[in-house]
Amino acid sequence: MNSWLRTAAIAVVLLIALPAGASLPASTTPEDIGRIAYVSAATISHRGTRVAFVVTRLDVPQNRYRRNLWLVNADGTGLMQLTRGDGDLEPQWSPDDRTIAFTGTRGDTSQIYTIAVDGGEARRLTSETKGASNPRWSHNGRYLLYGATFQDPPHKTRFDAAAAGAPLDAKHADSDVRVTDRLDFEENGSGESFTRHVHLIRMRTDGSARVQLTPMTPYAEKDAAWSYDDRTIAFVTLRRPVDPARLDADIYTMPAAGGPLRRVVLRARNNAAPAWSHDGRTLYVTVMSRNDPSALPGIDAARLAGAGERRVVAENQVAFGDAMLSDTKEGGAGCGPLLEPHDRWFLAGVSVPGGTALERFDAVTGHATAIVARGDEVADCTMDDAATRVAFTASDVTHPGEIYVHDLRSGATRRLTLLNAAYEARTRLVRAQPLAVRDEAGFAVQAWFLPASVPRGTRAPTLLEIHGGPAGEFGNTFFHEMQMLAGRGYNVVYANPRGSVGYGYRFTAALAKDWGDPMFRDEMAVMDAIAKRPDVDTHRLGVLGGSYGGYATLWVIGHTRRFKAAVAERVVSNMTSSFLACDECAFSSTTYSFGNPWDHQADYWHQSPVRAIANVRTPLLLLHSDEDTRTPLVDSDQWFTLAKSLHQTITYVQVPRENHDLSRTGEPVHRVERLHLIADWFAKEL
Amino acid sequence: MHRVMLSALLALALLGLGVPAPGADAARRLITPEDLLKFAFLSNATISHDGKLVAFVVSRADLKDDGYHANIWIAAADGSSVTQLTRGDHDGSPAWSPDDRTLAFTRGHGVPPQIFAIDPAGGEARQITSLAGGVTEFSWSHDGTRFALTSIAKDARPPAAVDWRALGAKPPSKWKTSDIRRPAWPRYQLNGDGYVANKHPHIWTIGADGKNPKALTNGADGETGPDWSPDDASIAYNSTPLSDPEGDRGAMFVVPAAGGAPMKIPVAHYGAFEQTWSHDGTHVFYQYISRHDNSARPALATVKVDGSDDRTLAPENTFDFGDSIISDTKENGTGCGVATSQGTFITEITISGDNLVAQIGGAPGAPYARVDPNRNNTGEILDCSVSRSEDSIAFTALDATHLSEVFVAGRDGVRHRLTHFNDEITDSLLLAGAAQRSAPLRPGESIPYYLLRPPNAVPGKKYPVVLDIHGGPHGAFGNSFFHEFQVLAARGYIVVYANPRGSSSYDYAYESELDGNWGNALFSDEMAVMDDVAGRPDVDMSRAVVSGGSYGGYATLWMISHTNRFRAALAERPVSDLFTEMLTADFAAPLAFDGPAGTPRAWGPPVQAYTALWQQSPLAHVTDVHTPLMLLHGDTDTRTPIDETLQEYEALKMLGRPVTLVQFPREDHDLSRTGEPIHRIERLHIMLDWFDRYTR
Repeated sequence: MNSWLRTAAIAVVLLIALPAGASLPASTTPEDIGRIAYVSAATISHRGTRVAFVVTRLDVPQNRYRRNLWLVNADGTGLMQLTRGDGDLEPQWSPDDRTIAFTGTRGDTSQIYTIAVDGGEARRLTSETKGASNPRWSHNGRYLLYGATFQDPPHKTRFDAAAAGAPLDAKHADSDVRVTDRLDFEENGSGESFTRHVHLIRMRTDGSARVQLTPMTPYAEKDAAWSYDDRTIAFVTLRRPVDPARLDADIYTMPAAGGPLRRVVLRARNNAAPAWSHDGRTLYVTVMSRNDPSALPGIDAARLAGAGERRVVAENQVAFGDAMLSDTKEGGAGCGPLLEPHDRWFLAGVSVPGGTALERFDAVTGHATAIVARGDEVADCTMDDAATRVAFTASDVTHPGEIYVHDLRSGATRRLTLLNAAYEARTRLVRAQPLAVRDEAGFAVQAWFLPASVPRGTRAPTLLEIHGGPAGEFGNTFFHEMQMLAGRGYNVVYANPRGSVGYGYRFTAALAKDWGDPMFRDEMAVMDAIAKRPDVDTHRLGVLGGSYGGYATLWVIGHTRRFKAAVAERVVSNMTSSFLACDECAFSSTTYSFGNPWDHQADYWHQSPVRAIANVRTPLLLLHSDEDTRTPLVDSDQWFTLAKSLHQTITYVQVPRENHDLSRTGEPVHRVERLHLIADWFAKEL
Repeated sequence: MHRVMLSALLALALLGLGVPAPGADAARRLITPEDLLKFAFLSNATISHDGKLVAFVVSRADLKDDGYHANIWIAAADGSSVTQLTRGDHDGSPAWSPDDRTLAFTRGHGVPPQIFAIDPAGGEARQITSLAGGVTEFSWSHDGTRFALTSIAKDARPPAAVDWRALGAKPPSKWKTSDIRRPAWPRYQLNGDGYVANKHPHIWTIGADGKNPKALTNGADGETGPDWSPDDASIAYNSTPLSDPEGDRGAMFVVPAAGGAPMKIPVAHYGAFEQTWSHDGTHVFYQYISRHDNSARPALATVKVDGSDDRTLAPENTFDFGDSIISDTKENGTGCGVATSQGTFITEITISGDNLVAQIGGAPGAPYARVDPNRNNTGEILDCSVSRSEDSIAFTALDATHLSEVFVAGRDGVRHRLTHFNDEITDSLLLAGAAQRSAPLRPGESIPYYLLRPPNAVPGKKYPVVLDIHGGPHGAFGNSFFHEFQVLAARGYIVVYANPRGSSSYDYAYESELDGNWGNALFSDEMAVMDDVAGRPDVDMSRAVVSGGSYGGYATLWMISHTNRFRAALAERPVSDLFTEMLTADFAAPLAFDGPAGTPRAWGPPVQAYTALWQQSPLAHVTDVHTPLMLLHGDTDTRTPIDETLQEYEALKMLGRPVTLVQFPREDHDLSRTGEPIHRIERLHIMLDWFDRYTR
């Protein structure tokens, strides 16, 4: 082990050293998505001495992702690859820190595996027909809890064998016709997820004594957590009839040995992520009272024995979670609440202006103190049992994510990995220059300028990137696409206009009933400021974005002709069709801020970019994926047909087998091709 | 050839066709969805030049292959024999060589179809062509030495945009080319054929021995309909530029059969198509339209290839050419178009829900001569062909209680049935005869409709009613076999199906009344029909349901958002939002609903007309829907994309109304007509279950 480590360390040094002796580092290329190590799921051991994590690599020639577990000591030594299953996720330390349980997809389905950290191959513990995931150790180390997926059987083919005079062959016994009466009948990337139900299974840590804890129902259970005395399990499910257009969820508990389910009665309709207090009397729960696309959840402490719930953090005050948008993150989940052993405070990840931070919240007052606020993106945090150390991933504009540990007593933060050292050393990555403008509503709009890799004194063409969501944010994180464009000689401007997360509820809610205009005014204010720079060629401006950013791009080119080229991906062009044919829109965004389209048709039409298509003079590349159900392809089709009938310059690109997440989780070959198509389009038009 | 003889050629006396005799009922049973597996679908009746043999195609559902097996048969024109000729299971388009010694046909499934040839006197078929793009249509030269054909050229896929050297890898063979699509024009897909923007049909010639293939046309546009001049020196064809968003601006060309520069036949019309050389080769018969108009009926004209002597034989909006009858038991026929030695043109037309074969361009002043003098003959004709002497005509026909069979008619004007493929099944079934009725609308106006009673109806008993609304809207119900309607009648429903305004086969004014107004006229007409039916003693109007597909799906949604008289509804492949349908359908025609400015048929360009389009969209009225609704759609439908159904479904779900969504994988707009057999059977059961739930 030791000699192996030493060899590896030398190899890393050599890789860093080599390009330095050669010429200047090159700009990043589309193909570099195959060179970057994507680090996620930083999982610290109970004693705080080691961190397990996932490294994802994109194998472009094989057109596949390879995900494996790695280990590193909390002092930065002992970096090693632990698994080689190429589909391994969700590392979970056993209470004695000697074993890691994880979810591995090493065949057709995902199953639960364990592996000893001091040697030997992984062992498969489960054989669930439709897969298993989310392993959770009991605190005494004797059991593993996990979720197993069960698929509703297809209905029997409606066929009268007597009338046909022959029985139906086996191939046709089950029907493939889909009959449903649910509103959530499809989910982007997951298809008919409502036909699959995750139920909780408990087993011994050798895989024996499998017991299904929650009954076979049409419901699903998630976010399961053991109480510290291992006697009770808390989880999230919904078992009451509700308005189908709501995203309600309840917290339940049940005896870990099996027994009746008990609902934790809470004031809010949408409750998630239960975290146990160490004394077993309280569950800390994230709560949301209203379906509101701008809403920020609060945190309640729910007493399990009678005394009811206590509001710890009010709703719409703190942006819990990680709202940062990037094309290089594999994990990037928020984290927490992570409770310290005496339940006096908890840690959680929150979105802040242009970044994310770890904050400590007083468990009574909800008062927050920044713990890790580096101005970059911090995600996937975990804390050791004694609340002395936190592990997390962090990335910034010029650094893809790496593993870090923060010592809560000394306040010191240490980077544990440098998996991207070779890539960074051979690649010229550009630093972003922050700026801010005051908008007409009085908000400070934060923006960044990523200068083109061109000789000093050159006026370069400049691209405005607009983010999706709209409830998300750009910021100080690694964005390969933007680096690639800067490397190709474009200044890249990106901003957080009204509607973005991280700047308070009012800022996000500014788009309610008005999706286009506040965004447009803020983005134009940013462009006005940028246009004064000597390195910006204002005659060669481009604009691009995906999803809401695609909507925004169409809106922008319908309202100004200052841009000479545009790329709009997975667009919303018609608010009515996009809202009503979308897989989850009825639940979340438009309904509660716009009302329903049949009641407010004039508003829907006014807010639709297609209304202003006749004004467009900007050559447009329209890009959409076939299986996108979040923003269905029909919105691009509508725009394309009209643009063609108006004789506009437009190129339409359709990508097979991809959904809304092409740029994030699409096939590696498609991701590379997409970047070339975008770069080539701007090269041609600018 | 005598004109008198020709006019008597087709006597559609219903020999052997008629409502089953009531006396035989005891031995008969009710029809089921599964009977689909027992039907034979006949088509392509192709008479030999000497008039002695008729080749035709017999197709049957095959459950095992989830498809259909089609083979070519021949019948002696005197009825003495019927023989199966081919066994390739995917055979079609039979065509006799000029000497009648060879029958050419197409064969292919999962691979591009090719021309095969077989000797009708004996022996197996041999493959003639091996063109990479296959053969989609073909015809023999008059001297029998060559074929003209259409073959599809497919654009090469561009290389994948990946710098493999930068990756230090060789491009894996799978990724040498990109699978990302870049459609250049809105009409980039076609229902049933998927993505077609990279496919371009071109005209070829090839020797009858399969040697010397030669492409006569090339380029980004498509060419179809090759037709040999009588001297075999030239080939006429049609081309519709892909860049034209409407897709109805056909242009006619002539190209030397030996190859050379194509020459456009310079006619002044907006769109010209269906070119056929006249018998003497001096003219080309063709159809034209003078403007973009969804209700338009083309004119029939002749012109010399240099554009001179352009004469209109039948003006626009006179005839409904072809077979516009809607049915779920027909295979696509080839229609009719025969230039006779008399200088006339024999073609099929649809009038008031029936087909007939007409001869146009005969007596001066007369619009046409009905080749069939018997006014009582009704039914659907899928295709026809004429012998060289013009003494005999062969055709495929069906009616409400008889599946398609092949017929021949000669000088005596009597039609002889040559085949009996479906006798066994139809003789064993208790089928419902179609009664023709009409409902008063306003003084002087009435709406024609058909009605099926349960074939085992008991006097004095009242039955629930299914109102079925046809698609199109430019199509028509008629006297044709409709399996779905027979199954509903057998289940104890009175089935009512009307031809409201907008339907084809009546007159142009009737058909064009929906322009700019898809919902209102339809609603008043169908309500008038229901009011008329309500007067019957055998109906229980409190148990009425409504159903329809495509435009009929739109109509169903429109009905239930304007009346609560129906207990339940089934809308298949509907349009719920005219704006999205207009811009996302495979015929994606931004001007499809937009006639010339100032005419009553103008909706206006879609963005400007948005408010009108929305008001005519069922979605605008969704809050008024209280009828339990099932929405049924095929995943790969590009004629009415499934998003039309999803919009209505999600809206009703959010409103908490009773609605069920049924999605069929791998099915397009033609599920009920050409879908996988098991899906067609299951669809009928799902329909029956749904209606039974609300009417029993």
